[in-house]
Amino acid sequence: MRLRDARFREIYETWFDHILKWLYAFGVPSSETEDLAQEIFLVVRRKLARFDGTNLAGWLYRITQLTVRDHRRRSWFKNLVVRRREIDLTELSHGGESPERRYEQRENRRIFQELMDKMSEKRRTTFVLFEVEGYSGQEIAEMHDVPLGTVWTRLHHARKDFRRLVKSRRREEPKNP
Amino acid sequence: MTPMRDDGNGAPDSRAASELLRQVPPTPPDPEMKRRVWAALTRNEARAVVVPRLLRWPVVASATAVLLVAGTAGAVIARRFIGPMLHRAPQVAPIAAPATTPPPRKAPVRRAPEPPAVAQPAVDLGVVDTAPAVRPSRGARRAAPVERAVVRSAAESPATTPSPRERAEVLDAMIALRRDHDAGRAGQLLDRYLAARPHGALREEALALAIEAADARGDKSSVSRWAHVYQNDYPSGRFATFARSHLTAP
Repeated sequence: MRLRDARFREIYETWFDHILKWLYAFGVPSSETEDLAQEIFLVVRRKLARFDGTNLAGWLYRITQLTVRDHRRRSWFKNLVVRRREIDLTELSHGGESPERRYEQRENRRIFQELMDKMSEKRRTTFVLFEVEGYSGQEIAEMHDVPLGTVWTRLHHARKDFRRLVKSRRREEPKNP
Repeated sequence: MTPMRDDGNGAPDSRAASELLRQVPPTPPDPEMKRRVWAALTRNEARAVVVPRLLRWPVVASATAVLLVAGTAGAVIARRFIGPMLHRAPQVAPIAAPATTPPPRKAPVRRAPEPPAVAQPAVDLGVVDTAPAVRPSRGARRAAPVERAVVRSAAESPATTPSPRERAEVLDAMIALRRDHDAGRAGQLLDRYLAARPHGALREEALALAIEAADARGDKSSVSRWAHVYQNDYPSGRFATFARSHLTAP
Protein backbone atom coordinates (compact mmCIF):
# COMPACT_ATOMS: atom_id res chain seq x y z
CA MET A 1 0.00 0.00 0.00
CA ARG A 2 1.35 3.43 -0.84
CA LEU A 3 1.15 6.48 1.34
CA ARG A 4 -0.57 8.36 -1.46
CA ASP A 5 -3.42 5.99 -1.22
CA ALA A 6 -6.54 8.06 -0.90
CA ARG A 7 -7.97 5.94 1.87
CA PHE A 8 -4.97 6.36 4.11
CA ARG A 9 -4.81 10.07 3.41
CA GLU A 10 -8.49 10.42 4.28
CA ILE A 11 -8.03 8.55 7.54
CA TYR A 12 -5.03 10.67 8.39
CA GLU A 13 -6.82 13.92 7.71
CA THR A 14 -9.94 12.91 9.61
CA TRP A 15 -8.46 11.15 12.60
CA PHE A 16 -5.14 12.79 13.37
CA ASP A 17 -6.63 15.26 15.86
CA HIS A 18 -8.65 12.51 17.49
CA ILE A 19 -5.56 10.46 18.01
CA LEU A 20 -3.84 13.40 19.70
CA LYS A 21 -6.81 13.58 22.09
CA TRP A 22 -6.64 9.88 22.77
CA LEU A 23 -2.94 10.11 23.47
CA TYR A 24 -3.69 12.84 26.00
CA ALA A 25 -6.38 10.62 27.54
CA PHE A 26 -3.81 7.87 27.92
CA GLY A 27 -1.58 10.30 29.79
CA VAL A 28 1.18 10.48 27.18
CA PRO A 29 3.43 13.51 27.80
CA SER A 30 3.16 16.12 25.07
CA SER A 31 6.90 15.74 24.34
CA GLU A 32 6.23 12.23 23.07
CA THR A 33 2.94 12.82 21.29
CA GLU A 34 4.43 13.53 17.88
CA ASP A 35 6.63 10.44 17.81
CA LEU A 36 3.76 8.27 18.95
CA ALA A 37 1.36 9.73 16.41
CA GLN A 38 3.84 8.92 13.67
CA GLU A 39 4.29 5.41 15.00
CA ILE A 40 0.53 4.90 15.14
CA PHE A 41 0.04 5.96 11.54
CA LEU A 42 2.86 3.71 10.42
CA VAL A 43 0.94 0.83 11.96
CA VAL A 44 -2.29 2.05 10.39
CA ARG A 45 -0.67 2.16 6.95
CA ARG A 46 0.78 -1.32 7.39
CA LYS A 47 -2.48 -2.86 8.58
CA LEU A 48 -5.00 -0.94 6.53
CA ALA A 49 -5.19 -3.60 3.83
CA ARG A 50 -6.35 -6.11 6.44
CA PHE A 51 -8.90 -3.83 8.08
CA ASP A 52 -12.42 -5.19 7.62
CA GLY A 53 -13.98 -1.73 7.42
CA THR A 54 -16.24 -1.96 10.47
CA ASN A 55 -15.80 0.43 13.40
CA LEU A 56 -12.88 2.48 12.17
CA ALA A 57 -12.81 4.50 15.40
CA GLY A 58 -12.55 1.33 17.49
CA TRP A 59 -9.81 -0.02 15.24
CA LEU A 60 -7.75 3.18 15.43
CA TYR A 61 -8.31 3.45 19.18
CA ARG A 62 -7.08 -0.11 19.66
CA ILE A 63 -3.94 0.61 17.61
CA THR A 64 -3.34 3.72 19.71
CA GLN A 65 -3.81 1.79 22.92
CA LEU A 66 -1.37 -0.97 21.91
CA THR A 67 1.20 1.49 20.57
CA VAL A 68 1.10 3.45 23.82
CA ARG A 69 1.57 0.25 25.81
CA ASP A 70 4.55 -0.74 23.66
CA HIS A 71 6.01 2.70 23.99
CA ARG A 72 5.68 2.64 27.77
CA ARG A 73 7.34 -0.77 27.92
CA ARG A 74 10.23 0.45 25.80
CA SER A 75 10.51 3.66 27.82
CA TRP A 76 10.67 1.66 31.02
CA PHE A 77 13.64 -0.30 29.73
CA LYS A 78 15.23 2.84 28.33
CA ASN A 79 14.84 4.66 31.63
CA LEU A 80 16.70 1.89 33.37
CA VAL A 81 19.80 3.07 31.53
CA VAL A 82 19.20 6.75 30.84
CA ARG A 83 16.95 8.89 32.99
CA ARG A 84 15.31 11.42 30.73
CA ARG A 85 13.42 14.41 31.94
CA GLU A 86 10.06 14.63 30.29
CA ILE A 87 9.43 18.12 29.00
CA ASP A 88 5.84 19.19 28.65
CA LEU A 89 5.70 21.21 25.45
CA THR A 90 2.64 23.04 26.69
CA GLU A 91 5.01 24.74 29.11
CA LEU A 92 6.85 26.24 26.17
CA SER A 93 3.84 27.64 24.34
CA HIS A 94 2.65 31.02 25.46
CA GLY A 95 0.22 32.44 22.90
CA GLY A 96 0.31 35.95 24.28
CA GLU A 97 -1.18 35.08 27.67
CA SER A 98 0.10 36.64 30.85
CA PRO A 99 2.72 34.72 32.87
CA GLU A 100 0.30 34.34 35.79
CA ARG A 101 -2.37 32.84 33.57
CA ARG A 102 0.12 30.50 31.94
CA TYR A 103 1.36 29.38 35.31
CA GLU A 104 -2.18 28.77 36.54
CA GLN A 105 -3.10 26.69 33.49
CA ARG A 106 0.09 24.66 33.71
CA GLU A 107 -0.46 24.04 37.38
CA ASN A 108 -4.08 22.95 36.83
CA ARG A 109 -3.04 20.56 34.08
CA ARG A 110 -0.28 19.13 36.24
CA ILE A 111 -2.70 18.57 39.14
CA PHE A 112 -5.24 17.02 36.80
CA GLN A 113 -2.64 14.65 35.33
CA GLU A 114 -1.52 13.68 38.82
CA LEU A 115 -5.06 12.77 39.77
CA MET A 116 -5.62 10.89 36.52
CA ASP A 117 -2.50 8.83 37.08
CA LYS A 118 -4.19 7.36 40.14
CA MET A 119 -7.13 5.98 38.14
CA SER A 120 -7.33 2.76 36.17
CA GLU A 121 -6.80 3.09 32.42
CA LYS A 122 -10.41 2.29 31.49
CA ARG A 123 -11.95 4.80 33.91
CA ARG A 124 -9.34 7.40 33.13
CA THR A 125 -9.77 7.29 29.36
CA THR A 126 -13.55 7.25 29.64
CA PHE A 127 -13.47 10.19 32.03
CA VAL A 128 -11.00 12.30 30.03
CA LEU A 129 -12.67 11.61 26.68
CA PHE A 130 -16.10 12.49 28.04
CA GLU A 131 -15.35 15.27 30.51
CA VAL A 132 -12.38 17.00 28.90
CA GLU A 133 -12.35 16.16 25.21
CA GLY A 134 -16.10 16.29 24.81
CA TYR A 135 -16.82 12.91 23.18
CA SER A 136 -20.32 11.51 23.56
CA GLY A 137 -21.05 8.27 25.37
CA GLN A 138 -21.91 6.58 22.08
CA GLU A 139 -18.61 7.62 20.51
CA ILE A 140 -16.67 6.33 23.48
CA ALA A 141 -18.59 3.06 23.37
CA GLU A 142 -17.61 2.60 19.72
CA MET A 143 -13.98 3.42 20.41
CA HIS A 144 -13.73 1.07 23.36
CA ASP A 145 -15.89 -1.46 21.55
CA VAL A 146 -18.16 -1.85 24.59
CA PRO A 147 -21.90 -1.32 25.18
CA LEU A 148 -23.07 2.17 26.02
CA GLY A 149 -24.11 1.04 29.49
CA THR A 150 -20.54 0.04 30.25
CA VAL A 151 -19.38 3.53 29.35
CA TRP A 152 -21.85 5.11 31.75
CA THR A 153 -20.85 2.69 34.49
CA ARG A 154 -17.17 3.48 33.98
CA LEU A 155 -17.89 7.17 33.89
CA HIS A 156 -19.91 6.96 37.09
CA HIS A 157 -17.07 5.20 38.91
CA ALA A 158 -14.50 7.54 37.40
CA ARG A 159 -16.41 10.58 38.66
CA LYS A 160 -16.59 9.11 42.14
CA ASP A 161 -12.86 8.44 42.03
CA PHE A 162 -12.19 11.94 40.79
CA ARG A 163 -14.25 13.57 43.54
CA ARG A 164 -12.54 11.45 46.15
CA LEU A 165 -9.12 12.33 44.77
CA VAL A 166 -9.93 16.04 44.66
CA LYS A 167 -11.23 15.87 48.21
CA SER A 168 -8.13 14.12 49.51
CA ARG A 169 -5.98 16.64 47.70
CA ARG A 170 -7.87 19.56 49.24
CA ARG A 171 -7.26 18.05 52.65
CA GLU A 172 -3.55 17.81 51.96
CA GLU A 173 -3.23 21.34 50.55
CA PRO A 174 -3.24 23.25 53.85
CA LYS A 175 -0.45 20.99 55.13
CA ASN A 176 1.70 21.98 52.11
CA PRO A 177 1.46 25.77 51.88
CA MET B 1 -25.48 12.59 30.84
CA THR B 2 -24.38 16.14 31.70
CA PRO B 3 -20.65 16.80 31.72
CA MET B 4 -19.28 17.31 35.20
CA ARG B 5 -17.77 20.68 34.38
CA ASP B 6 -21.26 22.06 33.76
CA ASP B 7 -22.50 20.83 37.11
CA GLY B 8 -21.82 23.75 39.44
CA ASN B 9 -24.14 22.68 42.25
CA GLY B 10 -23.67 20.17 45.04
CA ALA B 11 -21.15 19.62 47.80
CA PRO B 12 -18.00 21.75 48.03
CA ASP B 13 -15.89 18.81 46.90
CA SER B 14 -18.05 18.35 43.79
CA ARG B 15 -17.81 22.05 43.07
CA ALA B 16 -14.04 21.92 43.45
CA ALA B 17 -13.87 18.96 41.07
CA SER B 18 -16.02 20.79 38.51
CA GLU B 19 -13.91 23.89 38.91
CA LEU B 20 -10.72 21.92 38.29
CA LEU B 21 -12.23 20.31 35.20
CA ARG B 22 -13.19 23.71 33.84
CA GLN B 23 -9.56 24.78 34.21
CA VAL B 24 -8.38 21.94 31.97
CA PRO B 25 -9.05 22.77 28.30
CA PRO B 26 -9.57 20.08 25.66
CA THR B 27 -6.58 19.17 23.53
CA PRO B 28 -6.42 21.74 20.73
CA PRO B 29 -5.80 20.69 17.10
CA ASP B 30 -2.18 21.07 16.08
CA PRO B 31 -1.96 21.63 12.29
CA GLU B 32 1.78 22.15 12.46
CA MET B 33 2.34 18.81 14.12
CA LYS B 34 -0.03 17.21 11.64
CA ARG B 35 2.05 18.57 8.76
CA ARG B 36 5.32 17.43 10.36
CA VAL B 37 4.06 13.91 11.00
CA TRP B 38 2.79 13.62 7.43
CA ALA B 39 6.16 14.75 6.11
CA ALA B 40 7.89 12.21 8.34
CA LEU B 41 5.56 9.46 7.11
CA THR B 42 6.31 10.37 3.50
CA ARG B 43 10.06 10.26 4.17
CA ASN B 44 9.65 7.00 5.99
CA GLU B 45 7.77 5.48 3.06
CA ALA B 46 10.43 6.54 0.56
CA ARG B 47 13.13 5.06 2.75
CA ALA B 48 11.16 1.85 3.25
CA VAL B 49 11.00 1.37 -0.50
CA VAL B 50 14.64 2.18 -1.26
CA VAL B 51 16.53 0.86 1.75
CA PRO B 52 15.68 -2.85 1.47
CA ARG B 53 16.98 -2.95 -2.10
CA LEU B 54 20.17 -1.20 -1.07
CA LEU B 55 20.55 -3.41 1.99
CA ARG B 56 20.25 -6.59 -0.01
CA TRP B 57 23.69 -6.30 -1.69
CA PRO B 58 25.74 -5.63 1.42
CA VAL B 59 24.04 -8.55 3.15
CA VAL B 60 24.78 -10.92 0.26
CA ALA B 61 28.35 -9.62 -0.01
CA SER B 62 28.92 -9.98 3.72
CA ALA B 63 27.52 -13.50 3.76
CA THR B 64 29.72 -14.48 0.81
CA ALA B 65 32.80 -12.98 2.47
CA VAL B 66 32.07 -14.80 5.72
CA LEU B 67 31.62 -18.08 3.83
CA LEU B 68 34.87 -17.60 1.93
CA VAL B 69 36.84 -16.77 5.05
CA ALA B 70 35.32 -19.69 6.93
CA GLY B 71 36.02 -22.06 4.04
CA THR B 72 39.62 -20.90 3.74
CA ALA B 73 40.15 -21.24 7.47
CA GLY B 74 38.63 -24.72 7.38
CA ALA B 75 40.90 -25.75 4.52
CA VAL B 76 43.98 -24.44 6.31
CA ILE B 77 43.05 -26.21 9.52
CA ALA B 78 42.34 -29.43 7.65
CA ARG B 79 45.64 -29.26 5.78
CA ARG B 80 47.67 -28.33 8.82
CA PHE B 81 46.16 -30.56 11.49
CA ILE B 82 43.71 -33.12 10.12
CA GLY B 83 45.73 -34.11 7.04
CA PRO B 84 48.80 -35.31 8.96
CA MET B 85 46.57 -37.32 11.28
CA LEU B 86 44.89 -39.06 8.34
CA HIS B 87 48.24 -39.78 6.74
CA ARG B 88 49.46 -41.42 9.88
CA ALA B 89 46.39 -43.58 10.30
CA PRO B 90 46.98 -46.12 7.49
CA GLN B 91 50.54 -46.73 8.70
CA VAL B 92 49.35 -47.82 12.09
CA ALA B 93 46.21 -49.66 11.10
CA PRO B 94 47.74 -52.93 9.82
CA ILE B 95 49.72 -53.35 13.01
CA ALA B 96 46.69 -53.16 15.21
CA ALA B 97 45.19 -56.24 13.56
CA PRO B 98 47.84 -58.85 12.95
CA ALA B 99 46.95 -61.87 10.88
CA THR B 100 45.82 -64.84 12.96
CA THR B 101 47.19 -67.44 10.56
CA PRO B 102 50.34 -66.11 9.04
CA PRO B 103 50.94 -67.46 5.56
CA PRO B 104 54.12 -69.44 5.02
CA ARG B 105 57.08 -67.31 4.17
CA LYS B 106 58.52 -67.53 0.76
CA ALA B 107 62.17 -68.00 0.38
CA PRO B 108 63.87 -64.65 0.09
CA VAL B 109 66.23 -66.06 -2.42
CA ARG B 110 63.49 -66.33 -4.99
CA ARG B 111 62.11 -62.91 -4.28
CA ALA B 112 65.36 -61.02 -4.11
CA PRO B 113 66.25 -61.18 -7.79
CA GLU B 114 62.98 -59.68 -8.94
CA PRO B 115 63.89 -56.04 -9.49
CA PRO B 116 61.24 -53.40 -9.43
CA ALA B 117 60.76 -52.25 -12.98
CA VAL B 118 60.12 -48.72 -11.84
CA ALA B 119 61.10 -47.31 -8.52
CA GLN B 120 57.49 -47.17 -7.36
CA PRO B 121 57.12 -48.07 -3.73
CA ALA B 122 55.53 -51.46 -3.28
CA VAL B 123 53.52 -50.34 -0.30
CA ASP B 124 50.65 -47.92 -0.43
CA LEU B 125 51.76 -45.46 2.21
CA GLY B 126 49.74 -42.45 1.26
CA VAL B 127 52.57 -39.98 1.64
CA VAL B 128 54.74 -42.03 -0.65
CA ASP B 129 52.03 -41.93 -3.30
CA THR B 130 52.21 -38.19 -3.52
CA ALA B 131 55.96 -38.20 -4.04
CA PRO B 132 57.43 -37.58 -7.44
CA ALA B 133 58.73 -40.53 -9.35
CA VAL B 134 61.84 -41.85 -7.67
CA ARG B 135 65.04 -41.77 -9.64
CA PRO B 136 65.71 -45.19 -11.05
CA SER B 137 68.96 -45.39 -9.16
CA ARG B 138 70.65 -48.58 -8.23
CA GLY B 139 69.81 -48.13 -4.55
CA ALA B 140 66.17 -47.55 -5.27
CA ARG B 141 65.93 -50.54 -7.55
CA ARG B 142 67.34 -52.73 -4.86
CA ALA B 143 65.17 -51.27 -2.15
CA ALA B 144 61.74 -52.45 -3.26
CA PRO B 145 61.92 -55.85 -1.53
CA VAL B 146 62.92 -54.15 1.70
CA GLU B 147 59.97 -51.82 1.56
CA ARG B 148 57.57 -54.68 1.05
CA ALA B 149 59.12 -56.51 3.91
CA VAL B 150 58.70 -53.64 6.34
CA VAL B 151 54.96 -53.76 5.88
CA ARG B 152 54.66 -57.50 5.57
CA SER B 153 56.71 -58.35 8.60
CA ALA B 154 54.19 -56.71 10.85
CA ALA B 155 51.32 -58.62 9.34
CA GLU B 156 53.01 -61.96 8.92
CA SER B 157 54.84 -62.42 12.19
CA PRO B 158 52.59 -61.76 15.13
CA ALA B 159 55.23 -63.05 17.51
CA THR B 160 57.49 -60.14 16.65
CA THR B 161 54.89 -57.50 16.02
CA PRO B 162 56.55 -54.08 16.03
CA SER B 163 55.09 -51.33 18.11
CA PRO B 164 53.50 -48.44 16.21
CA ARG B 165 56.33 -46.18 17.28
CA GLU B 166 58.95 -48.64 16.09
CA ARG B 167 57.18 -49.05 12.81
CA ALA B 168 56.87 -45.30 12.38
CA GLU B 169 60.60 -44.83 12.94
CA VAL B 170 61.51 -47.28 10.17
CA LEU B 171 58.85 -45.90 7.85
CA ASP B 172 60.11 -42.37 8.47
CA ALA B 173 63.54 -43.49 7.45
CA MET B 174 62.12 -45.16 4.36
CA ILE B 175 60.20 -42.00 3.40
CA ALA B 176 63.31 -39.90 3.90
CA LEU B 177 65.26 -42.24 1.67
CA ARG B 178 62.73 -42.96 -1.06
CA ARG B 179 60.52 -39.94 -1.22
CA ASP B 180 62.74 -37.12 -0.01
CA HIS B 181 65.95 -38.61 -1.37
CA ASP B 182 67.57 -37.57 1.89
CA ALA B 183 69.93 -40.46 2.42
CA GLY B 184 71.76 -38.63 5.21
CA ARG B 185 68.65 -38.22 7.33
CA ALA B 186 67.54 -41.75 6.55
CA GLY B 187 70.95 -43.00 7.73
CA GLN B 188 70.65 -41.03 10.96
CA LEU B 189 67.14 -42.35 11.66
CA LEU B 190 68.21 -45.91 10.99
CA ASP B 191 71.39 -45.56 13.08
CA ARG B 192 69.26 -44.27 15.91
CA TYR B 193 66.76 -47.08 15.53
CA LEU B 194 69.40 -49.79 15.37
CA ALA B 195 71.24 -48.35 18.38
CA ALA B 196 68.09 -47.93 20.45
CA ARG B 197 66.56 -51.31 19.52
CA PRO B 198 69.26 -53.90 19.04
CA HIS B 199 66.59 -56.62 19.12
CA GLY B 200 63.82 -54.65 17.44
CA ALA B 201 61.16 -56.42 15.41
CA LEU B 202 62.18 -54.48 12.31
CA ARG B 203 65.92 -54.79 12.79
CA GLU B 204 66.37 -56.95 9.70
CA GLU B 205 64.53 -54.43 7.51
CA ALA B 206 66.32 -51.52 9.16
CA LEU B 207 69.69 -53.09 8.40
CA ALA B 208 68.74 -53.57 4.76
CA LEU B 209 67.57 -49.95 4.57
CA ALA B 210 70.75 -48.77 6.28
CA ILE B 211 72.78 -50.55 3.59
CA GLU B 212 70.69 -48.88 0.92
CA ALA B 213 70.98 -45.44 2.54
CA ALA B 214 74.73 -45.73 2.92
CA ASP B 215 74.96 -46.83 -0.69
CA ALA B 216 72.85 -43.89 -1.81
CA ARG B 217 75.11 -41.37 -0.10
CA GLY B 218 78.25 -43.15 -1.35
CA ASP B 219 79.51 -44.16 2.10
CA LYS B 220 81.20 -47.39 1.13
CA SER B 221 82.57 -48.13 4.59
CA SER B 222 79.08 -47.91 6.09
CA VAL B 223 77.71 -50.07 3.28
CA SER B 224 80.29 -52.70 4.04
CA ARG B 225 79.83 -52.42 7.79
CA TRP B 226 76.00 -52.80 7.69
CA ALA B 227 76.28 -55.59 5.12
CA HIS B 228 78.62 -57.44 7.46
CA VAL B 229 76.29 -56.93 10.39
CA TYR B 230 73.39 -58.25 8.32
CA GLN B 231 75.37 -61.27 7.16
CA ASN B 232 76.34 -62.11 10.75
CA ASP B 233 72.87 -61.64 12.20
CA TYR B 234 70.76 -63.04 9.34
CA PRO B 235 72.97 -65.37 7.28
CA SER B 236 69.91 -66.84 5.58
CA GLY B 237 67.69 -63.79 5.93
CA ARG B 238 65.34 -62.41 3.36
CA PHE B 239 67.83 -59.80 2.24
CA ALA B 240 70.94 -61.99 2.45
CA THR B 241 71.53 -61.83 -1.28
CA PHE B 242 71.06 -58.07 -1.20
CA ALA B 243 73.58 -57.75 1.63
CA ARG B 244 76.00 -60.13 -0.03
CA SER B 245 75.91 -58.14 -3.24
CA HIS B 246 77.06 -55.12 -1.29
CA LEU B 247 79.76 -57.08 0.46
CA THR B 248 81.26 -58.08 -2.78
CA ALA B 249 80.75 -54.72 -4.42
CA PRO B 250 83.92 -52.76 -5.02
